[in-house]
Amino acid sequence: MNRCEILKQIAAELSSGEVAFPTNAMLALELRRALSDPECHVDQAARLIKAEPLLSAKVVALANASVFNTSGRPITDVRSAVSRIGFRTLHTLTTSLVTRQLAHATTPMDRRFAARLWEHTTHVAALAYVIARNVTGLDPETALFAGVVHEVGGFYVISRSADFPGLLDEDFSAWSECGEAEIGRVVLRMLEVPDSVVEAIEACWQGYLALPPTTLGDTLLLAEELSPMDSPLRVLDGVHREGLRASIDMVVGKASLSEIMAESAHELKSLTAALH
Amino acid sequence: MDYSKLPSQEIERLAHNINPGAWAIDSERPLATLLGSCVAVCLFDPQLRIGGMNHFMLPNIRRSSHDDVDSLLSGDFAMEALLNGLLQRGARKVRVQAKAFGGGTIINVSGQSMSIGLRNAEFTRQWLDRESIPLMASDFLGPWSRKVLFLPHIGEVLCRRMATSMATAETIAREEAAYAATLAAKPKPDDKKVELF
Repeated sequence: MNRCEILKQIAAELSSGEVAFPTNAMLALELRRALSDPECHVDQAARLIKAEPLLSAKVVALANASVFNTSGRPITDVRSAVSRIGFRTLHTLTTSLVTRQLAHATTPMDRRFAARLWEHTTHVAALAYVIARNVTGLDPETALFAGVVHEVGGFYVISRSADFPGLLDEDFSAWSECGEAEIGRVVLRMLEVPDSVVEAIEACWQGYLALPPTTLGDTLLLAEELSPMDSPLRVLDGVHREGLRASIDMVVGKASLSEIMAESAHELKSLTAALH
Repeated sequence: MDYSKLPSQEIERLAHNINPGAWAIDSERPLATLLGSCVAVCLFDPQLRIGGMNHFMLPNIRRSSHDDVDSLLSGDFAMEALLNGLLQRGARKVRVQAKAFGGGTIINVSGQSMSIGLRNAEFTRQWLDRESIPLMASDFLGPWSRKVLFLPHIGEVLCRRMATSMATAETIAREEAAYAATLAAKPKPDDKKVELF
């Protein structure tokens, strides 16, 4: 089987229910379901979150990031943090936990790969938030969520590399040619990602960025293009990028994109760090 | 037909393709081009709702002490042909806006490919600046080839960076090299005459 066939098989197995998500991802999904319950009060949410140390740390970190902590007053407890960031952002953070758990890397190499993919994801998610707020004028919370889930298919593929040795070896151009969309669509559907976000991610896969950007898809694609860290899945496409950074800029109202991004550098940094 | 309502793949399918060294103007049908180290500039008059696109590169020629002048004249020719074409169709220079793309390094990273792309991008910025035409958007350099779709009636551009397979990179590079070879040929004196509007 060539790599394209393997990726199609992975998508088919997942779609038919023959293969489930890794256990930790399922547990994280359960937690997300509980937190998404409209009856879930902030006290109950705080109790659920405290049972998951990684999520607890992220909730508090994000509440203290400059985009949410406009007063400059630090928060140290989960309940106050949930109150500050709100349930929508909490949903995004829980989804980020699901995304990370999807990778379920078993070898040191796969763990490194997953860590790099997560680092890329945090950059894109934070950039999408800032671009939505300052460039495209869209809902930043939705953009953040779209950034968090835009590579979910990639995380899932890492969990299957043990079944298909060599799948993630160099020159993995099959990913963008036939895996990204095939597997991504299935995983996004299983995570119950809203249609509008799936549509934006589909636009991102197609790769046509409108200049100036206007849609959520443009927002996500611009975030991807501005990310200082490429997805390791793209690095494997055989194209060498070292020392070859692109230069993208445009007029946005009375400022330029580069000026806006320079002004947003601090909040971008704090948001990326909190998500990481 | 309102092309702006179509999906990008459909726009790409219906577009008029601009080859290296060519340019075209339209008020309706999309224009498209595939770039390696070349640059494409889209000029647009928002009031007249008309636009045009070119696809050019500066020649990498080493003939005489006049090389730089030759090289710049070639770039000037590509830009002025497009601008003059627009002006002849009723556009006003004070209203014209630009978007520019390309200058990528798709093969031969250690060689001259990188500097070719950079030179093309720098020339474009300088030319537009000199002519006081605002550069509204640009995506230059990097390791990608680019597919550019231009909707000339609204001035919108869609740009797709493509991680190019070696085979595609070689095809693009071959086409650009053939175009570069035509530039390297000694131009006739008349070829350099540029009618300024």
